[in-house]
Amino acid sequence: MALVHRVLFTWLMTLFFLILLVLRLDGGTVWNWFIIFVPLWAFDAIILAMLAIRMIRHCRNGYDTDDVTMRKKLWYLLVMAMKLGFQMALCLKLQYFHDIAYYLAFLPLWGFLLCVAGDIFRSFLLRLRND
Amino acid sequence: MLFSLKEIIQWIGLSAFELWLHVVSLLVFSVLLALKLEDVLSTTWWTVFIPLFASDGLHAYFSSIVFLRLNLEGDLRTAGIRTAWSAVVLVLLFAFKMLLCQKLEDQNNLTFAMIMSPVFILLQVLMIRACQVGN
Repeated sequence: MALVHRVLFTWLMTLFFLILLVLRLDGGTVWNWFIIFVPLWAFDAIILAMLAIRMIRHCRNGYDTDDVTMRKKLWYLLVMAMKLGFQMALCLKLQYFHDIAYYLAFLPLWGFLLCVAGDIFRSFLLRLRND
Repeated sequence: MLFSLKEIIQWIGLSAFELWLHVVSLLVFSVLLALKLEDVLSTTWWTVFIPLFASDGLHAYFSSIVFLRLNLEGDLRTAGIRTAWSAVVLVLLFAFKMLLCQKLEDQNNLTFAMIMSPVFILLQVLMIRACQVGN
């Protein structure tokens, strides 16, 4: 996908999610929380599908067209898994299991944010080394 | 993943350092949030939101320094555009967080649609920015 399409897709999914969230919070609907999160599921599904296709292509050709190593792709997979884990845990907590502690739901989020912060920090270090 | 860091910077218009600052503050905030929701922390919501406000403050401080530096180098146009964009993002996000905090503390009785309105405005502005993102 071109950058413009990816930006548009992300933007639309964020917008839909926020609209559904506002509806749910203001009591406009009493839909299941899993339905409220549908835009985010769709977003994650697309990312995972793209990742899977790139991994398969990498294995078949033995190289990646964008020079992303296999290790990096596995890292992305881990980060995505944590994001999905957080969303699922949060939905389950809000919808069905009101008794489980918030810590459990937030644990994947902390892992996710740590990974993202670490990734950005690594880009600083790489730039520092290149200068 | 979907975007590289470079593409995100190009679209959102924040530097890598500013993004990092917001991610870290979000991390601290989520820890405080979990503690508050589990009633371990019995402070007001304003205390829980401190990391987010702190990152806003640091972002503003960083942006003003960049503005001064660019100004001294005589690049007034870049400095102006960069600072104006940072100011828009900061003001909208700050308004959202403040309204949310007031709502959680029962200091206003706005609907969540009104509280989210700064975020919706920010999304519209981001759409306009997306038009400028190259191919």
